Amino acid sequence: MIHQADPTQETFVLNMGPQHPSTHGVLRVVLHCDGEYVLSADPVIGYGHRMHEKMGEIREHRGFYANVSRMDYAGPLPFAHAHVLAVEKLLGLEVPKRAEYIRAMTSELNRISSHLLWFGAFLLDLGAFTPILYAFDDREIIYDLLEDLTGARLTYSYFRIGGVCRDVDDKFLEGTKAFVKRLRSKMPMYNDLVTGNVIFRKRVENVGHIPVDMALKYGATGPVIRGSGVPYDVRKVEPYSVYPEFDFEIPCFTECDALARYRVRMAEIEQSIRIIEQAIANLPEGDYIAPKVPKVLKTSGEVYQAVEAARGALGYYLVGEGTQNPYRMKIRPPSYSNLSLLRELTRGILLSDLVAVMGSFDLVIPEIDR
Amino acid sequence: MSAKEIIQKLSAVQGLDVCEADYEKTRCNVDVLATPETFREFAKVIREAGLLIESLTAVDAVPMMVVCHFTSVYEVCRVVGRVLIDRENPVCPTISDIYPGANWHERETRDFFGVNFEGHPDMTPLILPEDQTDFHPLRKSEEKLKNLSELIGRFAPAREEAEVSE
Repeated sequence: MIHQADPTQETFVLNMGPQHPSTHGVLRVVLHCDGEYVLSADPVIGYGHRMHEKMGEIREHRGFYANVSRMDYAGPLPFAHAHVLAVEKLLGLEVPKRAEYIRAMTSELNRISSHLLWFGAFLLDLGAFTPILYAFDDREIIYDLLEDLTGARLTYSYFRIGGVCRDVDDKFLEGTKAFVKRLRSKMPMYNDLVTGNVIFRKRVENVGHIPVDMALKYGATGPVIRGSGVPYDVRKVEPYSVYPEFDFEIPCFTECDALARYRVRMAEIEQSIRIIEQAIANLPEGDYIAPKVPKVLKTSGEVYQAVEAARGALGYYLVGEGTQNPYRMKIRPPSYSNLSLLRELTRGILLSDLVAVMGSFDLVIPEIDR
Repeated sequence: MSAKEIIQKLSAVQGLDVCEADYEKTRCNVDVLATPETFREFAKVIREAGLLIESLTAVDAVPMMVVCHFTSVYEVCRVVGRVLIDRENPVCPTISDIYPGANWHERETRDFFGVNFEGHPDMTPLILPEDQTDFHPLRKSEEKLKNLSELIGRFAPAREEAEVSE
């Protein structure tokens, strides 16, 4: 738009997406720019909207298994975890310990695979091509392990109300043990390759500064708030499942920038490895699904069940009406709130920094659109 | 800030109906029923207490309920806030100036339920198509519609009260 009185005041509109590679899916960002500087960035969402909440309301509880993994395709097991926990809470159903251990173990594997995908994609956004090849090499092993166990590589319907649908076998446990050992030995290589790289540091250091208060008022969670110095992790602050039985830490960095968010995720991989090792070592004997799950799941009352997904706090708000399907199902995805602060955060920053900031959020668009 | 302190602070506000919720059953610690007049005051107190906004949505029943969840980032303390509004003329005050994170949640609630948030800076559709302003997919049909007192425990005994406010 050319300024009538003073042509040097010219600004222009740049349309980023919905097919841009660094928007990670069908997200469009309308940018008002002054040269290389972003005056305002407005995310336009909803291109992949499928009304999962309505599907949840018209289907029975068990009919929603397939939906959960189609929201956050990079880390679907925590999404399934929150759903089954919420319904079990409404039913007052006791879940065998072994089932909860398996759920925690597979969720953590999924968290690692999600972080590896983010690691590769984030660096790809910044112009580094090699890291994604290393990350996908390791991620592939997780997918093979989970495929053997669940029957699916991406869209798992593994968790059941009352437990999981299939017990873990020795092949899975031995394979997982070998994998975490391998990944732990490779983490120093990842850090050598990227963390200290001077080009990488120049792109992410002091970029996208999110103070604690901004994270609180926008509801940003996960690595975003942990990169701002608040050790908020649902697994520790509001423990669910069997997480209180594991010894692990919540990585937290106080720099508030994109590098801090990068470091949080890299440190989280190590913590997830610790949880998996403990889960394998202490895996209790017993049932993998509750022996007496009622055939007809009639639910009433309300519950808000939160879990820590790969991208932050995920919540299911269920209201039952005494029938087999919920009267209201609200899904609170973490990336939705994380992305909503983009407009305030990116006012006045460089266009290239915007890409670094969005990459550091680890966005998964189908989870935002639902 | 612990649940006890939050209850104490909220009890000081006129017009809020504050009670302790059963955490084991609902995973919430504090249950607050606000009126459209006191809703913003409630949000201000919660914001001062340093709580994080988790979600804001509505439940289509009679009367319609706008419900929002907040949580502490340091301890187990989840606050649920409710406002009962008229289903035929759903208007609720905005809290998007107090909690900017509520901005998108309110727009989404407008998309799905047709709730008009008074004072909201931009009520254009967020998730549904831009021209979709009169279709609200999560509204219940007449035969599916239930009374709020049949759904939510806290409204069950105070049935008359809910009907009066409607």
